[in-house]
Order: sequence, then structure tokens, then C-alpha cells
Amino acid sequence: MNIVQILFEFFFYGFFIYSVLLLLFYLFIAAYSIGEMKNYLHKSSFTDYSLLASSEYAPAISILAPAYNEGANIIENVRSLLAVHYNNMELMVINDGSKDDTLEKLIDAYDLIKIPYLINEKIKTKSVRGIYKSKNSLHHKLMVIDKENGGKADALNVGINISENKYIVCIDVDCILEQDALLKLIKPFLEETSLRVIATGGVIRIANSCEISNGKLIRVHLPKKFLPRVQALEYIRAFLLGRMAWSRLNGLLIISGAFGAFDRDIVIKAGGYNTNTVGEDMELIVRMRRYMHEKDIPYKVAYIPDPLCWTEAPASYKILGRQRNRWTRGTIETLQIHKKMFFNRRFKILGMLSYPYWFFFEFLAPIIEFTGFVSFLVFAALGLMDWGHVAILFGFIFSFGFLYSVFAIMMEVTTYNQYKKRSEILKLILTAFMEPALFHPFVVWSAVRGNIDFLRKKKTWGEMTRQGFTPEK
Amino acid sequence: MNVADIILLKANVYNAFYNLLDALIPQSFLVDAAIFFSVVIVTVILVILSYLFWRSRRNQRKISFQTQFNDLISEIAVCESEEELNEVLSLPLYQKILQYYQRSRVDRNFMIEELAETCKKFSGNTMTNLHWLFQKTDLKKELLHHLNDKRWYIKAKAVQQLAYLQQKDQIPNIFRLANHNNDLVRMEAQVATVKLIGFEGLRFLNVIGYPISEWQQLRLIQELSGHSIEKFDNIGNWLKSKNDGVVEFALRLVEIYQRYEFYNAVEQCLSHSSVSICRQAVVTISKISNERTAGILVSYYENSPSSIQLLILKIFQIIGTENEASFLLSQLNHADDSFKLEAAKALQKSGNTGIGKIEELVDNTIPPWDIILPQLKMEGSV
Repeated sequence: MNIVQILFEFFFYGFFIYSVLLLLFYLFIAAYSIGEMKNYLHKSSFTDYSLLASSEYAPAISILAPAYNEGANIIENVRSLLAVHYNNMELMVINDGSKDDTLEKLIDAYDLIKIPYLINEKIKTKSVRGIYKSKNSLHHKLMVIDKENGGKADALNVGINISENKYIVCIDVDCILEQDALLKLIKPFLEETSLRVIATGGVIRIANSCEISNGKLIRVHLPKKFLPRVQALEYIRAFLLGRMAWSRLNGLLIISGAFGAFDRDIVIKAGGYNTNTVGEDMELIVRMRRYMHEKDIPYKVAYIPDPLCWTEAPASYKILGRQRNRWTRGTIETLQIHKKMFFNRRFKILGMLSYPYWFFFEFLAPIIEFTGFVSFLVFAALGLMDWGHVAILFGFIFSFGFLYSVFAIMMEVTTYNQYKKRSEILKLILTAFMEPALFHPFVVWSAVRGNIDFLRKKKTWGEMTRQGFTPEK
Repeated sequence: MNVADIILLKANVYNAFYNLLDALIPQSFLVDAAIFFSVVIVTVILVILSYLFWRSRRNQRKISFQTQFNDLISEIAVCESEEELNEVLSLPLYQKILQYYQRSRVDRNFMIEELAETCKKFSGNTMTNLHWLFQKTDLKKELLHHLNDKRWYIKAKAVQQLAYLQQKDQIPNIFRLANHNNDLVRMEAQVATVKLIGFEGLRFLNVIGYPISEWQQLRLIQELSGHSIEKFDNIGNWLKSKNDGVVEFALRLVEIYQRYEFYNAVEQCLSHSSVSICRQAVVTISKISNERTAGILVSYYENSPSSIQLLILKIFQIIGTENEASFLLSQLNHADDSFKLEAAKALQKSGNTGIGKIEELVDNTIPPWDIILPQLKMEGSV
């Protein structure tokens, strides 16, 4: 056997084993999520969440909403957050050194005055320039913190330092929350008796083309444009299948940065958000879990499959590319920081399953997929493979991907069914058919570029321009 | 290596490559798998479309049922005697509706659900009339059948509905489930007994072997708020329970209903091994405080975890007196600024020490006092 043959064998056997494992994992995740989803829906049908909204004995929570150059929509966003159903809460808007008039608008709209306020800096942050409260008792739940620019993670750390409540909810200020979102997010902290719940997260949905008025979601529509629509499908797949299964295994490694609740005490003990990564949301969860393992405290990261938070998805390939590039870098940074856990039995499911899964099937997947795709094309061009075989191979991959998406749509339809019209479901199925050709290659390419940028030590977020929730023309 | 060797080597490589590829992922396998996936895809799409069709029909039927049933309920609700009730029910329209909906199990479940949900919203004569309708429609048999179902969610739902429908004769059956091994069934049974018989229903606390979550405690407290205050005899035993959840809940009851007679038992809970019970005991004792309370809390302060120490300082802002001044002054030197702030607030709010004394003791030009003192002044002026 010569060296070329050995290389071929290594390549093919490696690629084959990897693909089989990946497909099996997907099948397992799809099957495993069903039981958990059924269980949750049955359980949820008994629950009267309104109990928490009005009870004076409900735990106090702090909502932390960092804002950077949000002047255009900040007043409406804050109004929307203040209107959320939960009595015992405070809203902290953290102005992260905005260059626009975000702070001035808040001061004017809510009659704010600067107050002396002791900050117990448990987590090191950039300096705070001032704390503002409203003179109007109607807005007593609102606190605005003005600080030097330090990024989202730093802004959240300031909020964590200032908050005194047991639970904190970190949210993107421009997200649209369901009215009962906080009630559902906080409940898992209260119902667990044997494990300490350290964080909870819910489903994020795509708000493009939805009807929104005064910061409230009025009617849900499937996004009209292809790119947001395919992301809506992608989110359904990720949240209804992926995270549901990981939640059942108690192996979740990520709570979306757009909306998640945390046990403040554990966040502080774990060191708060890491300001040196662009994937601060995932990194925090991994670090909190690692802390709990190292201290040997039984714990849980809970997940709620209800749609709780609606956000605007990138509608252009340019912005989407930046987002996926950043997500990839965030994943690599987190895996690198916590490499100690890789197949480390001490961390149980976290070290033996969650971390390896993320390493092999989230971090490596785009690289292997890209390499495999290019290699097969090259082999075919060189005559090492016939084009028929390549076409059949791609057909096989396409049909599996399509099947997985259609299964996710079925789960959506039979559970939450956010898209009421039959035409919307058919459109979603059509989108699932088009995705492997028109969307997936771009996502893979963005991830590959993320890897390259990581090697170049790029640390920026990349500008994420949003169109805002105005009616589409 | 001459040209012939190179051609031969290339041919060998191609050969090996083809063989390997075919052995590993034969084309026929890939084609079969792709066909299989396609068949499953078509099946799943058909399932989705059928489900959408079925659900749309079900919703239409439900809306139609709700409209007809609401008409019946509004007529039943205003009846003042059994004759009137019988008269309404014997109207051909309603007889037809009831007969129609009692044909299938799904429809009977519909009716039970609607009745239970309606009962939830009403009380008095309307509620009595709805119970009468429930008996007349013979739905109880169905509901009891659900109560004995092996599936936890059917059983739990039945417990909930029996409570909404005020089926007091089922209390023994429901009470038996208050210590069920399924947490949802157990929780529904506990809430149901309290809903049906008020404080008396809390007797499950005497026997319960499972923890009571904070969520469940909130539910029970809310349920109790709808009942008049009755006996509290058992609280003393619950405060000594081996079940931490029972102790915590009993402390909450003492706090909410201001049961001063359990002061000593609450005081004993301050040294409980569970931190959450200690925390609740501190809160409870502050709500039933007397002249001894502040002194007791000072004595427990030293050996408490820092979170409870901070809580005690906050409580002193409400119940503190001049007697705790020296203790609070000592906390102004605490290493943690939060403790300094809370101690200063307590000093300002309790007794005659006021902010002047603090200003004498600290340097108001250095952190954290350069912030704490203006903060105290501002909060004091509000």
C-alpha cells in the first residue's frame, strides 16, 4: 500500500465515520426531544403563571438591558420592557457609552435624575459615570446606568454588580418579549427542590414581518423575505429539537444572550461575563457549570420551549455573515478557555458529552463539511470519482437535511404552531427544500471565515445594523 | 520512474480509490437511503397537512360547542330553583346539544373542561347550579375514570377539575394522592384539598414525604387566601418537621398570618441546618417581632452566612432600636461595602444615632463614604 492509498483511506474512513456519527446524533436529538416536549406541554397545561405576576411573595428580579446607540428606539423598547407582566421587578438599562442620544432621550422621557449610589464592584468593570432614577413614582422600577463603553459583557457585569436581587434576567433591549415571558423564565428556579437551577433560557423566534405595535407583538407572520424566513426555520430546528434534547440530558451549553435568567450569586461566584470573548453568553454558561462541578453542587440549567422572545434576524447576507462569523469565534474561544473539560470524567455529561459534541459537531462540522465538499468536487474533476457518485452523495445529504427540517416543522405545528396559516407552513416546507442549496453553504462559509478570523486574532463584533420593527413595504 | 510506471501507478491509485469508495459507501446504498428519506419526507408532510386540517375542524367544533354551551350556562346560572333548572335543561335545544356532545369521550372531556373552567370563575348560586348541571350530565363517572388513569397528566388534570367543580365527596380520594410519587399529581392533589376544605386541607403536611417547592408554597398560600382563617394548631408540629419544605412553609404561614404564639418555635428555626430555613426564620421572626427580637438576631448574626447577615442588617432598618447602635457601628468597618451601606442605613433609620454620628466616625472624602453618605442623605430626604 503506498502513501497515496493510505491518505485516501484515512480521508474516506474518517469522513465516513464522522458523517455516520453526525447523522446518528441528529436522529438521537430528534427522537430524544419528543419525550421532553410532550412532558413539558402536559406540565404546562396545569400551570397558572399569573400566580407569579401578582404575588407579593414572588422573588424579586432585575432585568439587565444593555444599550449601545439605541437612541432611535430606546423609549419604545423601555416602555415595552416595563409593561411585562411581573410585579416584583426592576429594569436596569445600561447605557454602554453610546455615541448617540440614548441617555438624553431616556432622561427626558422618564424624568430621570442622577443619584448617588454605592456600587459594590464584585466583578471588575469599566467605570460607571452615573446612575439615574425617575422623579416620577410611576417609573420607580426603572434605573438607568451610564457607563464608559466596554461592550455588552462589561455592561451586563455592571448590572450584575448593581442589582441586589436573587435572579437577574439579561436581555437585548430591542427584543420583544411575550407578556408572560418572565413568569415562564422564573418558574424553573422555584419548582426545583433537589437541584440548584443556575440559569434558564427560552426560545427565541424571528420577528421579521410580524405585526408589532408599541413594543408588543400583535400578530405573528412568517418572514416574507427568504433570508429571515430560512433563519426562522433554523431557529425552530435549533430550539425545538436541539436544545430540548440537551435540556433533557442536562447538558445545555448555551442560553441565548438575547434572553436568559440567572442565579446572580452563582454568576458572581463564577466571575461574571467574560469581556474577552465575542461569545460571552455561551462562555458564561460553561463557566457557571464548570464552577458547580468544581464545587460539587448538584445543579441544572433549565430550558423552556415556549416562544418567549422575538428578535429581528439579519436580512442581508453581509450582516448574517458577520453574525455567523462572530458565533463561530465565540464557540472556538469558549472551547479553548474550557479545554480542561474535554473528555474529562470529573465534569460528567458536560465533559464527556456536551463539550465533545460542541467540539466535533459544532466547531469542526463546518470545517469538515467544507473540506469534504471541496475534496469531492476536486476528486470528481480529477476523474477519481464519477460525477454520478458525487451527485448521489449530495442527494443523500440533501434528503437527510430536508427530512430533519420537515420533522422540526412537524414538531412546531403539533406544539406551538406560531404560524397559523396553512400557506405559511407550506412556505416553510419550501424554504426547507431550498435551504441546503441557498443558505447552508453560506453559513458554512461564514463559519470557515470565522475560523480564519479567529486565527488572525480578530476580536470585534462586527456592526449589526438592524432595520427595526417597522412594517415592510 | 518512467512514463509507463507513472501511468501504472495512477491506474492503481484510481482502482484502489474506486474500490474503497464503493466498499465504504456503495452507490446503491446511498440511492436506497435517499429514496427512503424521500418517502419519509412525503409522509411527514402529509402528517403535517392532515394535522392542520384536523386541528382546524376541531377548533371550529370547539368554538361552536363553546357558543352553545355558554348559552346553556347563562340560562342555568340565573335559575333559582331545581324546577327551573329542570325546565331549562329539558328544553329540546339543550337536550339535543347535551345528547350530541355526550356521544364521544373527546366531547365529554370538552364538556368537563368547559364546566370546570366556568366553575373557576363563579361562586354562590351560579356555582351551585353548575354543580347541579355536572351531576345531571353524568360527567362525574368520566372524571372519576380519569382520576384512576395510570397516566399522570390525566390523573392530575382530573384532580384539578374535581377541585374546580367543588366535588367535596372526593376529598378522601384526592387526599390519598397528596403524597403521590409523581410531583404533578401530588401538587395538584395538595392544592385541591386546600381549595376544597381550606386550612383543614393542609393536614397532608403531617404525612408528606416529599419536598415542597417554592412554587408549590406560593400556590398553597394563594389558595389559602381565599379561605377564612381557621385552626393553626398543627403549625407547631410542622415547624419541627423533618421535611425542610414543611418547616419553610410553616414559617411562611406564621409570617403571613402573624401567629405570635409560635415565636419560640420560630426562634429555634434560626439555628436550623438548612440555610433557606434560617433565612425564612429571620424574615418570619422580624414580622412577629417583640422587644427581644433585635437582640436575638444580633446573637445569631456572628455565625450566620453572609447573605443572612446582610438580610439581618436590612431588617434592622425596620425593627432596629437604639440598643443595637454599638453593633451597627461595628459593622461600619466591615470589609464588604454593602455591609457598610446597610449598617449605615439601619443606624440612620433606627434610634437617635442618625447620620451625624456616622459622619463623625468616617471620612466622607474617601470611598465608599463619599458615596454612601450622599446616598443616605438623598434617600432620607425622599
